[in-house]
Amino acid sequence: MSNHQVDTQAAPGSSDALRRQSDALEVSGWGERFVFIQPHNLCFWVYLVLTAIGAFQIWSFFGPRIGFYGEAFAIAAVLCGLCGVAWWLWFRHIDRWERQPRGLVLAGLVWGAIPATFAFAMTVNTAMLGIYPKLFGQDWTANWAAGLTAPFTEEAAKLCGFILLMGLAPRLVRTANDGLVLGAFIGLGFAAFEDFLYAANSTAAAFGTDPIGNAVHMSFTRIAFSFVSHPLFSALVCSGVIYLLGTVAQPRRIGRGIAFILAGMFLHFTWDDAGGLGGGNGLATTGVMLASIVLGFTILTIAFRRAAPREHQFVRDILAPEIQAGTVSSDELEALLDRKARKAFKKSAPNHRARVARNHLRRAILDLTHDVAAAKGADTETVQHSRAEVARLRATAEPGQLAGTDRAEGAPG
Amino acid sequence: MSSISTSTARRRVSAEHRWLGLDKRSFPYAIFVIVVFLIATVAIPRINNAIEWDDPVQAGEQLALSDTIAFTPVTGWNVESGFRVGEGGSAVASGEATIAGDGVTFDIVPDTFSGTPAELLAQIEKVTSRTGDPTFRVEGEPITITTSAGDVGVAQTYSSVRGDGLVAAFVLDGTGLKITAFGPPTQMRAAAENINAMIASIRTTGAETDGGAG
Repeated sequence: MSNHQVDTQAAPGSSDALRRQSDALEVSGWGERFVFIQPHNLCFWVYLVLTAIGAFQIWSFFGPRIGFYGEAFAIAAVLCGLCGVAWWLWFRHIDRWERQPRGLVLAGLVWGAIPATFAFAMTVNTAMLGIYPKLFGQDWTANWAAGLTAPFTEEAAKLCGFILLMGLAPRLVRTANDGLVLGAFIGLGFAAFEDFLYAANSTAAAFGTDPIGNAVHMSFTRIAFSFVSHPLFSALVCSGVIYLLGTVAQPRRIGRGIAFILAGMFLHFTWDDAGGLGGGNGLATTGVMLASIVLGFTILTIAFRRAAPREHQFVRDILAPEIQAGTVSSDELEALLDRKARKAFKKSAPNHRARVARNHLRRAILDLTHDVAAAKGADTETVQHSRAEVARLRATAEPGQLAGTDRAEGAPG
Repeated sequence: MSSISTSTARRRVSAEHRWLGLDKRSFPYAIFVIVVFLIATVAIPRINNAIEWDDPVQAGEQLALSDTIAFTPVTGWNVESGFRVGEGGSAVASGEATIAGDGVTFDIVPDTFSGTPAELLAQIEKVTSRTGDPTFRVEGEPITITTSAGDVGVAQTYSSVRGDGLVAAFVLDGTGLKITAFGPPTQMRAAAENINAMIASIRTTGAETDGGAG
C-alpha cells in the first residue's frame, strides 16, 4: 500500500516487536493520510452530487428571503457558528487515540451541515410530517410525529455520510472509536446548521416585525436545548454500525452494534418527543429531557469504554519497539492506557511538580505514538524529537531517576 | 515524506476491481447511500402525495388558533391542518389552521402582534411581497369587517401570479391573525358566504385550553 521506504535499521526493537508494530499499523490505519479527491471512488462522486443538491436546496430556501432578513440571518449564523466551534474544540480534545485527519473531520462536518440537512432531512421530514396527520390526525401528530420521524430520517441521513467516509477512507474508518468521533462531528455539522435553520425560520415570526430579536432568541433557545442532541445520537449510531458490519480492526459484534444503533435512535425519540412523553406538562417535559441527557451520557461513556481496549492494543503494539528499546517504560505505557494504573502513577509522584509533569509525560508518549504511526515506524526527525520530549519530561516527572533519562536520550536500538 | 494515501488514491485501480475506471469496492457504500437518498426524497414524498386528506369538519367542531382564540369552520370542509378545540392534544393544542372546501383554501395564521389590524395588513403585504412572492399586491381600498363577537378587522383583496384571493387581519389581545382565502374566481364567489361566516365566527374563548400556542 505504501511507497514510503521504511528504514527498519534505524528503528528500535527486535523483529518480533517490529512485526507487532507493522501489523498494528496495517490493521489500524494509524498514521494514514486522508485524500478527499478520489476520482476512481464512486463514494467521492456521490458525496459531491448530494452536497451540490443540498447547496442548491439551501439557495432556493434562503435566496428569496436573504434580502429582507439578511442581518438576522448573519447574526444567527454567527451565534450558531460560535457554538459549533466550542463543540469542535471539545471533540478534537476527546479524539485522542488515532486522531482523525482534519480533512476527514471536515468532510463529516460538511456532510452533516449541507447534504444531510437539506438534501435528505428537509424533504423527507416534510413528507413524513404530511403522512402522519393524514393517517392519525393533527393532535397525535403534534405529540408524536417528530419523535417518530427524525430518529429514522435524520439518523439515516447522517449515517449515509459516515458510510461514504468509510468508502472514501476504508483504512481510516475502522474501529468503534472512529465511529464515535466521526459520528459526533457529522452530528455537530447537522446540529449547528439545524439550529441556524430554526433561527432563520424564526425571523418570520410575529409577521416579520422583529426578525433580529427572534433570530437571537431562537439561536439561544436552540443552542441551550440541542447541545447534546445530534452529536450524541450519531456517535452512538455510527459506532454501532462499525460493530454491526465488522472490520479488520474491529471484530463484528452484531448484538452490541444493534444495541448502540437503537440507543442512538431511542435517545433521539425521547429528545424530540419530550413534550408528548411529558404529557404537555412543562415540568414533566423538562424531566424527560434531563433523564435523556443522563441516559445519553451514561450510554456514551459505556460506548467509549467498550471502544477503548482496541485502541489501547494498537498503542501497545505501535510502541512495542520503543518499549523494548527503553524509550518508554511499560509502567508509563500502562499509565497512559489504564485508568487504575494512571491514578497509581500520579499518586506515586514525589511532589506536585512531578505530578503535573507525569500528566505531560503521558501526553508526550501519545504524541510519540502518533509520530511513529505517521512515519510508519521509520526513524524520522519528528520521531526522534518526540523521543527526546519523552525523555525531557521524564526527567521532571521522576526527579530521582536520571539514569532512565540518560538511557532514553541515547540512541535506542 | 511521501503521502501514502495520495499514492493509493492516484494509482490505477487493479484490473479485477475496476469497472469503467471506478473501484468496484467503493460501490456497496455508494449504492447504499443512493438507495437511502431515493427512498427519502422520492419514495416517501410520493407516498405522502398519494394519501388524500380526509378529515372533514363535523357539526359543532371548532378549531383553536391560540390558547384563547377559536373559530368555527364550515361543516363538511376538510381540515388540512389545525387543532380541534377540546381534543386531547398535549404538546400543541392550537395554532395555524388550513381548511379546504368548494375549491377554496381558507387559512388562518396566528402570531404575536401589538399594532392595529391595518398595520398588520401592511406588514403582511410588505413581508410577503419582499420574501415569499414578489408579485403579491393587495388591491383596492381596505374594508372594515366585524365578527359576530364585535371584534373589528380589515380585509382587502389581493392578487399575485400564484393566485388571487382575500386577505384579512385581526388583532385580538396581542395576537395577530392573518386570514387568507384563495381559489378560482367562480369558487371564491360561490364560497363567499361560507368565508364570511368563518371570519365572523372568530372569537376569544376566555378560557385557556391545554398547551401553548403554535
